[in-house]
Amino acid sequence: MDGTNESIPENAVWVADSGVFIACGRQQRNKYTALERFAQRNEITFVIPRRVYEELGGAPDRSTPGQTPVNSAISNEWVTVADELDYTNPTVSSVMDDVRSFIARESNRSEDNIEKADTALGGVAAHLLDSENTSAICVLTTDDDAGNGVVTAIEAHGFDGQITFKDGFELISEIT
Amino acid sequence: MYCMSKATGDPERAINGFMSVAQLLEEPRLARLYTYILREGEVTIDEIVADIDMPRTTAYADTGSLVDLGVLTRDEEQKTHTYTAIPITLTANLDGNTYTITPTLIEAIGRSPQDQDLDLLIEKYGIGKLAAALTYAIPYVEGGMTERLAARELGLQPAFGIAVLQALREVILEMREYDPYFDQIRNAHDKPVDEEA
Repeated sequence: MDGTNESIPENAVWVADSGVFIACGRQQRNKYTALERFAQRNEITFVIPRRVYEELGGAPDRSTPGQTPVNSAISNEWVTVADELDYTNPTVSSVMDDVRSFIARESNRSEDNIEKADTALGGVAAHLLDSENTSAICVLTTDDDAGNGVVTAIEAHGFDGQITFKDGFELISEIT
Repeated sequence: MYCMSKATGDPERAINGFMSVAQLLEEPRLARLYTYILREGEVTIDEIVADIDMPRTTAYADTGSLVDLGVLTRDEEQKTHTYTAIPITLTANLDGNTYTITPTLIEAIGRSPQDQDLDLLIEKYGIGKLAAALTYAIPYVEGGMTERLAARELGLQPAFGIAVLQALREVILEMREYDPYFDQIRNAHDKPVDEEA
């Protein structure tokens, strides 16, 4: 992988979280350009859960996420929005439940406090791996507990060795 | 010269200290100067002017204000005066709702004019929300709190909540080794901020 030290499979599909785009936009916006260059150099299209797209679009105008040019990233084809999650797919649903339990445990909250939508990253990863067109996933997030939760849940569903968690802050510091 | 960090049951000092902290929370420029000096250890006016890009007259006036507030000491032994910050901690308890203010929160205030997310948070929700967000940012940085759970419990739009956590993450990474009272700040991992004991 060009620009990062991590051993992420060349053919991995990158599933990216809101925090990555926000971190790129905070304070100096040139980090956003660095992320675009990284994507193009490695021929990556970041897949974002629908939830992430909606969150970024719904942020207040004067906040960093409210000014994140995610729409232009989509039209320039280095970001794409994932299909609607199919909760009737047992793998998707079960991975999301596991992520939810993991997050609840790590955050010291009851599972009722964790919304299913909080686990969309895991749902998208499970959907892609289950579809057979994808053999490896790299989850890119600035949320450690969410990233670890997705890896744990995906591995528990028999996709051992097919999932990597890349810390968003770490990637940004490597590519800028 | 009173020293809040060593306060031992003196009511006058407690109230003066409370007023000083309140003033730092209200004035980001003073807050920023205070935490800068706390991190540096000992500074001269020349160093302040060079490091934080502040006009000399403002540096004199603001260090004077901080000395009057009792959060800075001025050493006049040498020809060139030096300034040292006194670490402050103030625990507010209003009808059982408690919060311990430490230099880390002061740093967040000091950064707010240059940080659009912190600035917007304070403008829309007040300094209390910033203080509450800090209790979530600590487990977010150290492990034990997800971005969306924090945003929801704080009542913030998710992406904006994430931006606020990221802003406070920078504050924490900068301050935790210089704030001697860092461990006294509440940690929302233990329980949500709106659930008092």
